[in-house]
Amino acid sequence: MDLCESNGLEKRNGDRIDPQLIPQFGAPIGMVPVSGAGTGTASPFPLWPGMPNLSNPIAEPFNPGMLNQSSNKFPYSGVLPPGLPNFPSEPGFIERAARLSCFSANAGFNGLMNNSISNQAQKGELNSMNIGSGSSHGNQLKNQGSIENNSETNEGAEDKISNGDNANANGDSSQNDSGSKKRKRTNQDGAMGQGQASMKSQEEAGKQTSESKKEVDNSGSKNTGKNGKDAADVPKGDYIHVRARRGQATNSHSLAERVRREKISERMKYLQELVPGCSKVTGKAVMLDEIINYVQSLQRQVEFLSMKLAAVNPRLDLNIETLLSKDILQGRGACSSTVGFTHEMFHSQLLPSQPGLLPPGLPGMLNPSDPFRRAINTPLSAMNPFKDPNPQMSTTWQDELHNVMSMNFATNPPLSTQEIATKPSDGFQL
Amino acid sequence: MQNTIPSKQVLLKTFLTGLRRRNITNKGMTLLERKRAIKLSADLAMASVRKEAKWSNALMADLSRKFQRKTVLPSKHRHVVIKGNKVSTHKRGARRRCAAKATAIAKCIIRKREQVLRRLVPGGKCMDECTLLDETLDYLQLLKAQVDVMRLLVKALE
Repeated sequence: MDLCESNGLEKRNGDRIDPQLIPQFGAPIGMVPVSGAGTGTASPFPLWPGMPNLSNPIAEPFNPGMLNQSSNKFPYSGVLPPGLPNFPSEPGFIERAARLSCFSANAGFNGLMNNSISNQAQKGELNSMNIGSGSSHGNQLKNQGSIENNSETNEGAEDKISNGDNANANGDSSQNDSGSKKRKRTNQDGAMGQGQASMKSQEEAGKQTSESKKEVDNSGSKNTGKNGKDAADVPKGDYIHVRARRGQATNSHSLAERVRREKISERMKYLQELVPGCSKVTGKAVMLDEIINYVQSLQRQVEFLSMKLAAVNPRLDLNIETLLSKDILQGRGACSSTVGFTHEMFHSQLLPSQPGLLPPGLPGMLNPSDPFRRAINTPLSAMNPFKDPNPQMSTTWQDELHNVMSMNFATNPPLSTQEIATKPSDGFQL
Repeated sequence: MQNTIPSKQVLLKTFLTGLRRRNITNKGMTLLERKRAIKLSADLAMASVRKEAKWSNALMADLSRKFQRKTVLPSKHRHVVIKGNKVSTHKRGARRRCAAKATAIAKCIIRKREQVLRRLVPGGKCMDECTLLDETLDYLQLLKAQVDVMRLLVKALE
């Protein structure tokens, strides 16, 4: 799921289309000489019916824009198809828009426009225009395909026109086409996000963020557009409307199956983000393995740290009150040093990813296993800024907590052998 | 993601409150007892931050059951044991027939790992696959936060 930057696109302007892409579209239908000045590289433009004066080869209004052969300026500056809004120049918008649009996860990469929006906005794949009509060419086009490959598969003027249809109909069809909506998308978000993302798709090859992992080949909304409209529209329950794609079974079972699969793959994407080092992993089996390892390592860490805290006990009682009275994690240096701990550890303490965690003073401490140490060293920057959860406790929870917290600890449950085995207590002093 | 990432402060406070209540500074406690108390407080703090998640309910139920010999929380999930028996015959057949039946083998592997994950995540036995992944997500977030909080504490006490 890495970004494919091998498309040879270098310019990453926020609001420009890389002209290297343009020839791909225009080549099969014959280059339309745009500039009368006979420059070496004419920059043809795709036939978008929505665009004015496109069929006119001597489109003078375009020339000033088209004459920038050597530069990477957008040849259509000012002549955007009417259906599409202007680009935002802010790159972060693409991600947000794409992220919004990828909330409805759909399986199967039909290669349609909307589908590829978030793909491309995030991965920078430039398949949208070609693949949008290429649904008839097969649904197996992967995101990592380069533009060159796509241009070969894409032939015929009608493809361009259908591309244009898709491009223009993006705003509309994205709202008509239900896809399998997991969450409701606002019309505005859908229209803007997809309209812009589709334009941006041709330029964005260099986006590599962690969100790219969130994006699924299979997710993104399905845009059947005007090509691959299928008849079956099976409402599933109250809130999920699934439309069978072209060439797919319309059996309700298979639809339900597909929805289920999409859900699962969407969640695997999220998990891929969360678990460090899983960006390059494809496939459920390996992912599950990594997840399992990570959960196990975290649980082992909790055990280990609680053992450590138990060993440091003499100072724990002194500190508990102090810690409770002051909000440690908030202020920088808010804690006093009277009780013997230092200031500096408390400022911006949310990223304690340092290797030397084990204090040298604790003798006999078991050496952390490799995954443990790896887990310690993983950067914790995945933690986003925190929001306070709802502090209200439901009554059941309050009762439950009181019950559990007032447990008498002197009941002395039997020691588990595992604890004794994994935590050698030789070196500890009570 | 649906849920917010828990604030570490809340975690820390709950953790320390629980610790204080348990009175772990009592000299009579052995190291392992203390460790268990600490871990219990940590688990409780973790579970209390995310009350609506299935795993947290399951965790609370487990903890209370462990120490009080009875379930305090009424069990809300159906006790479904998800069987993967079909897979073994399938696997044998696949291996016999043709090595190209990779998907069958892959499914077998995935099924096995899923079962392991169910054991790890509290309450995982009673969830379907989709919910399992959701809960794992949630659980991982909180585990991470818990580990961070405890590390901070350890650092503070050194």
